[in-house]
Amino acid sequence: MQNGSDDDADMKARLARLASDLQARRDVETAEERRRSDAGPDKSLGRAMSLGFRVLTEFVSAAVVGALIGWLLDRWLGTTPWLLVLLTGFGVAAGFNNVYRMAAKTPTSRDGDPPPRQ
Amino acid sequence: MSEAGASAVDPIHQFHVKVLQPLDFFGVDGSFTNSALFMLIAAAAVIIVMLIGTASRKIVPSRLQASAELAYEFVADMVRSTCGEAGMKFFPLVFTIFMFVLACNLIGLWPYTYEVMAQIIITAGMAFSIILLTIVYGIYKHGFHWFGLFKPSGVSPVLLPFIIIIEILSFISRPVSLSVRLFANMLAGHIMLVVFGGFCVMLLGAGYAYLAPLPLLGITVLTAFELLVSVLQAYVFAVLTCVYINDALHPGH
Repeated sequence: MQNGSDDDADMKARLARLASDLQARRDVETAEERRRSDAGPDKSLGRAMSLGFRVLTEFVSAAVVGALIGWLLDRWLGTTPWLLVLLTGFGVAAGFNNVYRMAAKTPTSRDGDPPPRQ
Repeated sequence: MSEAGASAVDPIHQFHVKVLQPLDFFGVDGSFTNSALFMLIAAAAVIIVMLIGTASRKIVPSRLQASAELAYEFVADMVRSTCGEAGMKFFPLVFTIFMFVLACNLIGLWPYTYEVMAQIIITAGMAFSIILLTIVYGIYKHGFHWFGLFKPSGVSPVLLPFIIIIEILSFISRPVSLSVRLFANMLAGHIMLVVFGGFCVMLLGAGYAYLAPLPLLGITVLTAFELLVSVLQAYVFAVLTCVYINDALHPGH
């Protein structure tokens, strides 16, 4: 085992090389990310508006669908206006649920595309 | 985008459906309209680009081949990353939807054309078909278990009925938000373009000709912005289609 210290030095050199390679790789990736993130004010504005509009439609559509179903059920069952009130409340809750799920699914990406689930 | 004169300042005029060829199928009005014409043009444009683009299959691709390959790669990546490898059986559907919406939006940006996606019946038709497909496929694939989509795990039995109602409502709201988003984006963008054009005409008519270039500048910026919105909305529509198909493939959160 006279080359045990040799092996150690070898291993250390390899580890150092790996660390520097990883650092270089990370630098390239962050540079790329930074380049992607400031791709121009127009583009990021468009993406932000698209995301904002998604939140708006997800919320409003759920509330409107709830109210509509409540109104129709009221008309058929003759329980005006109780089901309308109840289902509008549920619709708003469903809207919050939609928005929450959108926000919870995309913690880092800002452009509104959800990463794969599971 | 609209005729000169009074209708130049009417921003809604551009969305009128005009009957080009009246057709009547046993009492059902199936007239050929300008909307149908531009849908055909969009579909034909996609088919032509993809056919010519994939005809030669060179190693060093031509521009058309490169764009066809880019479109394929883009949508294939989107489907794989959202629904996994099992979702690739829906790739033709997602690709068709993405390319059709994209082509309609891009063609609709040209002057004297018609924006098909600014009609809510078109987007609603597509969105409800997609949701119907995911329901039918989910039940076909998973049977009764598919309804577990509405029952999140780990909820106390007291709250469960309320949660189920909320989940069902949020499922029903999906096609509504999907269709309204695309429709409203295209409608608002095209109205804005015509309104700015109307400013230009009105300023000229009122004798403030030195101010008229300002809204013209605005139109230039807005057109670039509309180009971005067109592509982005086609992308969002296709991504959400993938997300909904993913729910049919893998129900349960």
